Amino acid sequence: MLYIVNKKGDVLRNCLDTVSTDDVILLIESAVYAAVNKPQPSVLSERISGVAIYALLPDMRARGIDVARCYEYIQYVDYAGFVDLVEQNNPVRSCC
Amino acid sequence: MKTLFFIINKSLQGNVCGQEFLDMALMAAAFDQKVVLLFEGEGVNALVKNQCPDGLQLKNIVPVLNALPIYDINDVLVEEESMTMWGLVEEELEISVHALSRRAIKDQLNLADHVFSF
Amino acid sequence: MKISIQINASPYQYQAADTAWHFIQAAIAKGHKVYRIFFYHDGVYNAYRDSRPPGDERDIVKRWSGLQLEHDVDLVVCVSSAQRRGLLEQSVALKVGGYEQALSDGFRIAGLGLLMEAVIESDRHITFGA
Repeated sequence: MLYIVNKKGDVLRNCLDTVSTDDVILLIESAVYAAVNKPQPSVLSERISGVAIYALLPDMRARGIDVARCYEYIQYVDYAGFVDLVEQNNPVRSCC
Repeated sequence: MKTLFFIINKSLQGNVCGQEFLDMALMAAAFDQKVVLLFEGEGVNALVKNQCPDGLQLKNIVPVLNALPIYDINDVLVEEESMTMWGLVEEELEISVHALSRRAIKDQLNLADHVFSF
Repeated sequence: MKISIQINASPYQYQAADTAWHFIQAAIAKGHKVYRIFFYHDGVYNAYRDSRPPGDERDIVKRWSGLQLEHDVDLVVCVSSAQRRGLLEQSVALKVGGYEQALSDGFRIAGLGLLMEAVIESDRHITFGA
């Protein structure tokens, strides 16, 4: 299942509660701040095995977030990659 | 026929979104699709008895919940972990539900054609 | 892949309409078919013809209208969401509001049935919300 998450905080935490192996999470809009490795504690500080986490690069750039400040295991996609994730995964759950 | 999951993970009271979300589920059932309603997280509170939104002139969605079988929506799942977290037991709920573990729900969700949330 | 889109949030206050727009552009560029965009909840404001953003800002409503013109994407505004929020279609607007209609070019108003039809027809249904 692909989770599209657009907010950090409770929305992302609730999503993390229900993910399981082979799930994919895509952080979009203000949820991309969750990729930054500085704030402590952080919900993404511990990698969940078997779950791939992507962040939408255009939303990172819009907010001036350098990938150097983010957790190393995070992967990045542009909108074309977003479309590919939707094509490769089903069902898709939007977490707003 | 497609299997459509409608996930309620927030309150159905206070704004019109919950009501409009249930309308989607009813419409899906009218199209003869397999409709599953899933209450998880804070959303389990939407099922408790003694909701009186009328005092605030808010629309009461409880009659819609009670009418679900009329629309052939008989799959109403609640997540056990969420019930425990909110200290709720099934007797405190307005309608009869199937309580399942997070794991069991996820196995069903993975087989859904489409998942809706609001 | 055939994709249907649902937009649940009002434009400008939320990024949903922008994210959906860029996603749709990328999907079309990759040769996917965007079957229908369904505007629901406060998403109906994406269709409001009297929206007038400052000249240096993106015009979200016009952008949707252009998408319909260029790529023949079906733009459907939910009738009950719209009426509740004062966006009336032609027949009702004239009678009740004394104006022509609230929807911009390329949008049409219809019931939830069209959402479900799109969902059933599509390989993916993606919701963009508040």
